[in-house]
Amino acid sequence: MKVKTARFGEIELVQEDLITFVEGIPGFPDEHEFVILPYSDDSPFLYLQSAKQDYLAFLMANPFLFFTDYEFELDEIQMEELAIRSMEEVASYVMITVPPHNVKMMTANLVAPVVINIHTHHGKQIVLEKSKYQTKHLLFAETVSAKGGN
Amino acid sequence: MLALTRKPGQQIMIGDDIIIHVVDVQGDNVRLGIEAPKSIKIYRSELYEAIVEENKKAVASSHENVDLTNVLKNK
Repeated sequence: MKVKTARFGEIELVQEDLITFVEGIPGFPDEHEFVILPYSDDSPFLYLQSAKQDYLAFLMANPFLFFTDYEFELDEIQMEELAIRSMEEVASYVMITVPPHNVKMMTANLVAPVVINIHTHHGKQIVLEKSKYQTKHLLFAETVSAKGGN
Repeated sequence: MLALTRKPGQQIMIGDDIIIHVVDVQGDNVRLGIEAPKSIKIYRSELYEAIVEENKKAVASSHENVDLTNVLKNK
C-alpha cells in the first residue's frame, strides 16, 4: 500500500506497518490508522504519520532519553484497550511541538504519551489525569533563558 | 443543556450506572464524587482541551523544516 506524506513524499508500506488508534487521537477522532517513520537512522525522533492524510503527522520522541525520571502507569482498562500482556510489548513516545523558527524551545507533551503495543499494533494517546506533567516540557532545559535564535 | 440545583450530599444519576455526588461546596469550589464503570473515561475538561490544542500545534509544527540531527549535536 502507498501512503502519501508531506515530508517524505509517497512511501510504500505493507499492511502490517499500520498502527490502529481505535479512538483516534484527541483533536483527530476520525484518524485511526498511522505509521511510524523514523526521522533518521538512530535518531530519538520519529514521525507518527497518518496513513490517510498526508499533512497529518506528529513529531515524536523517546521521552526517556530527554526526561530520565519520566514515568507513568497504565491502568487496567488502558492495558486491555491496547491488549498489553507484558511491558515488553509496550513502546512509549511523546509528541513534540516546535515553536516557529525556534527549534531549541521545542517541547514535549508529557501528560499525554503515545503508547503502542508493538505486537498487536494498537496505539493510544493516554491522558494522565492524575500526573504532575503538562502539555509542554522543554526538551533542552539549559536553553530556557536563551530567547530567539535557531 | 439541563441545569439542576443540588445540595451537598445529594446526587445526580446519568443513565443506569453513573452517579455524580455533590460532596462539598466551599465558596467557588464544588467537590464532586463520580461513580462510573471503569471503562468510562473521566477527565477535567481543561486538561483534555489542552491536549487537543497541543496536538493541533504539534501537527502544524511537524511541518517546520527543522534539522533535529543538529539539535542533538549542539545540545
